[in-house]
Amino acid sequence: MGLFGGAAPRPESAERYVEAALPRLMGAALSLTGNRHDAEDLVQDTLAKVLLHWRRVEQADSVDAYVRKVMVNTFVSGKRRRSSREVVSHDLVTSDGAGAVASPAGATEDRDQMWQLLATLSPRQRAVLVLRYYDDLPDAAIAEVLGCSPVSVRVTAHKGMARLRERLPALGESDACPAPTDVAATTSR
Amino acid sequence: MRDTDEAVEGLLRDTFGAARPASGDDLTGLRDASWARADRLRRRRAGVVGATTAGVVGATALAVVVGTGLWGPQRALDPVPAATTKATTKPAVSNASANLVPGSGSFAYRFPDGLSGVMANGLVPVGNISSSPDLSGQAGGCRWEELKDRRQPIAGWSRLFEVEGSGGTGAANLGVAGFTTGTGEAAMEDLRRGALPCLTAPDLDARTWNGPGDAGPSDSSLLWTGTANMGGTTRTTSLAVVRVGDVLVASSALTDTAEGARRVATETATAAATLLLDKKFPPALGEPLGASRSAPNAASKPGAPKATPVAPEAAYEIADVYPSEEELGNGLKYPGDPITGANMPTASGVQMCDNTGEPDQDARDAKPDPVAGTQNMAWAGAGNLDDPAVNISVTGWVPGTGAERFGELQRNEGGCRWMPDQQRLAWAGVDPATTWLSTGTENGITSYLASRLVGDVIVSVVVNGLPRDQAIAEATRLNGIVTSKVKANVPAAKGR
Repeated sequence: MGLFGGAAPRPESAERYVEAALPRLMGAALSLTGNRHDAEDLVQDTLAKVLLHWRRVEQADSVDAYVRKVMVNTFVSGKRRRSSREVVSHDLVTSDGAGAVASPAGATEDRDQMWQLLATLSPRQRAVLVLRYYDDLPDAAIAEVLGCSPVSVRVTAHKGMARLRERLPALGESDACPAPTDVAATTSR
Repeated sequence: MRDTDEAVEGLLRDTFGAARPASGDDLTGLRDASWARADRLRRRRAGVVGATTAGVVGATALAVVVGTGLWGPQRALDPVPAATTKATTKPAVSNASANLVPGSGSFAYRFPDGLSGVMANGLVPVGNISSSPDLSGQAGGCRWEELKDRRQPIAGWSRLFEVEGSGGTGAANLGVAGFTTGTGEAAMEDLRRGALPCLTAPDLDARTWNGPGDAGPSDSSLLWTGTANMGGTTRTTSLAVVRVGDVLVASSALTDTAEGARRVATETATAAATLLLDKKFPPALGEPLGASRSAPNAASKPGAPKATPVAPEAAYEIADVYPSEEELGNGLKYPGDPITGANMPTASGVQMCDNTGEPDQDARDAKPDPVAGTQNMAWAGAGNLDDPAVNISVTGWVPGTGAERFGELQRNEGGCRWMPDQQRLAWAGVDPATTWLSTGTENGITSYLASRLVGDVIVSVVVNGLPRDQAIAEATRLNGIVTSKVKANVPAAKGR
């Protein structure tokens, strides 16, 4: 059975949208969840909800904005808090060809640390940072996505940044440190 | 500070930017899976019966909580295609249970109810129980699914806590992981030398501490702690791990004081390990779980074949039979999507289905499970214990056996038993053979249950947080709404 009943084909506009939006959605989902498995799950959940109401969704002023809202609220709703406790690495997030980019020495380690620290943030804090630094949205637009006030966005961002700032070792020095796993394996207890 | 902020912002942009898929990446698998999920969602909304998938679109956090409490840790998410990861380190130990990694939905056994409620004084649970047993928590984190070639647990979960009154700066974690029978000691040694897929910060030092383990202080417990200046504030991380039999119980804490971190970590780990020992939980005693020779219990024996999933596939799907939020009234809202599947209590909210340790465990476990089911919760306010809440469950049974199963509910003789004990109340104007109204109180919370047999389907509604008369009226009213929808949409309600 097709999505839109009987043997009816999927709306071309929906197929075009999915094809075009998928890379951006996957990147946003990776940034939110921190791991590929949950990111794919989040993308699937988001698109399933959107496609279910496509006829209505495509009438929206901005389909992208609507889809972003669905994704962020699906993430923040608490359904995926399990993921927020997973510690991930840059290699994992970008494995399977998902955006592995050439990095200067130390950059990958810095990202690894950042992924681990992001995992310690609340889903809401993480969502605010992703909307700010992945989607480059202003606070007013972030407030619209999250259904809260811009002040609340700023407070949430401030708390998230403070947590990252206090736990992030001096940037650029991480290439001098061995990987945590190696250290854990060799440190005398 | 400003320079630091800019550096953090720059790193955030760089990190998120690197996560963006490249233009040449193949996302066709994800695209197809998204369409397939939309199809399934639409079928469910449309009430099409007979779909074979046991997956749950948008499995809720509630699923994790309920699943752990009643049916053991299990992941209720659909399998995701093309979600492979690559191990990045050399295998430290041969892995005998790779097919039982967290998240596979195939954990070998369930931990006793009550374990998930264990915590040191001054902790508040945050979020929901994770089906991934995070043993290092605040001190690092476990990467079971990434490092599948290392030793893997066959059961486990973890939970995050916040230190009360810390303003979000104090956090703690409890993780339990069961390993194949006879390998608990080796698992502990792996953790100690960093060979488990659990990271720990490099600046933690070993401290003297004897937990309640069963193999002597030298190898049955460990305490690591480290203090660092973070943004001008001194913070201490402590990780306490206890081995009881083939189970590792770990608690970590991050607080402003060394004394506080140590207390929270050791108290939580001790309490959880003690509970397992007090309950004589077989894996905590180094024994296979239960006397059953059938999966999943047998899966904890060395070399045993892969366990069958804890959650069997449903024979059919039950369509959307829930009252709308307007129909619910009282400010009740659904926080998430329904949970569907065959592993459902008949009356979620007033029953416990984990019979581990009960004298007649085998007899209880032998009782038939539903062949289909759905449940959902709605609550008002923040969902605190004393806020109004309703718990709706609908279970389908093997054709022709509905009456028998309903009788077991009434006599408290099914696979799931009252929790708390129920006192039957009069339900005027209905057939007492096919209806049940009762009440029970636990921890100061009084619940009211209205159940009804419809063909081979049982509809149960539990209400709490409302005055007695109102709660009874709401339980019976909502049961009527659900029953009407079941009669209209579920063939099994007509014995088909």
